[in-house]
Amino acid sequence: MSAAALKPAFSEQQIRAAIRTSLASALSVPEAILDDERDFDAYGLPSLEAVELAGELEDFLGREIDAETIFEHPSVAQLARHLAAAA
Amino acid sequence: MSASPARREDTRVGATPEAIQAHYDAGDAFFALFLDPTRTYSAALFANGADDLEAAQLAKIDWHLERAGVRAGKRLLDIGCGWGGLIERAVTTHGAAEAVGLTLSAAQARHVSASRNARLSARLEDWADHTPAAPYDAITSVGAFEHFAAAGLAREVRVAAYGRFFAKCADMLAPGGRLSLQTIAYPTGFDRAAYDATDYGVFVREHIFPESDLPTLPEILEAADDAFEPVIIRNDRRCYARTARIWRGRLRAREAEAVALVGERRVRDLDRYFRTSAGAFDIGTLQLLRLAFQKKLAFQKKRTRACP
Repeated sequence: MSAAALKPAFSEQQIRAAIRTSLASALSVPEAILDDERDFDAYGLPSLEAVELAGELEDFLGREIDAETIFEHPSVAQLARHLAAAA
Repeated sequence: MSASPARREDTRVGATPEAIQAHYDAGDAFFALFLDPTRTYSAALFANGADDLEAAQLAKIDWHLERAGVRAGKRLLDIGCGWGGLIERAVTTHGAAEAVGLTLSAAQARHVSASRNARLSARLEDWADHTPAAPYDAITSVGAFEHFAAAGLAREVRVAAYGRFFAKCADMLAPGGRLSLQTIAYPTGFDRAAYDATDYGVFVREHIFPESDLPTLPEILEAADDAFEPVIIRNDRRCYARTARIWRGRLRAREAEAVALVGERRVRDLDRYFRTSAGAFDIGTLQLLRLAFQKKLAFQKKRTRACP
């Protein structure tokens, strides 16, 4: 997508923070209780919420995120690492 | 829901004309902002990683016309003709002698009627009420099946409604006639009740597709079986994900104009729908089915045959 070129690159730290904010909102829990190493599955994240999470990250990063990515890298830490590396 | 299926005749359990018009009558100008020039409001057919929406929509139209056997001299009925892109291409590129489109949207019917090609026509009519002047050689229906069953019906009621559609199509087709269908579907085992209870499920039912529910592939095949033999079945869900992302990008690029035409709420709703449905197609929570059928011959309809 051409928009990618206009957006600044984000650090793994920034991406991690964005994932935590979206995940907390999807699960309706305070961010502070999230464990970055814990599997999304263990939180009982429904697939539709995972799709919404992918959509929010897509908008945050300004590039297309295949929603399958959430299931292939299913924790805050794994997902942030993957998205930072793929930038 | 504002209009219950019971309000209609027993045989009509799909979305009402009012519901269809709420979705599609937002105005030609609004849809023209983000759709391709044919104003095709259904998944395109992207091949080999191509990213050109215009070419992919024509490729999709051609796929259906070819699978339905539309060529020189043939008569086509398109159920849910939208803005007429498919029927127009049937007569201009594939040589169809006549192409009739049915729609429940007055804005769409007006748009097609404004074209001056004598071989093209659009009728503001439910498929159940259509009486063909002569049998058709081909029927297409792209992105209409989604509206043939209202939300909240039991599986057998849904399948029966789909069965009436297939029976009617068979009635309208000449022997050996073909039907090419495209619809969004849920995967088998999809938990409708759980989905309907989610924020997104409620949102889609209230703001995007009122009074509509989606089929599964087995429901379609079961409903079609009396009258039709399946010839091709494809799940092109990645094509819809791509299409929805392109529509969303275009809508965002024309956001100010879109808001001026239909208001901020409608634009925000559609933006959310495109974003989430793209992801749902990514992971297979939604499927995009393309199905080609051939009308069964009398002997093929017999339940048991001495020679299979």
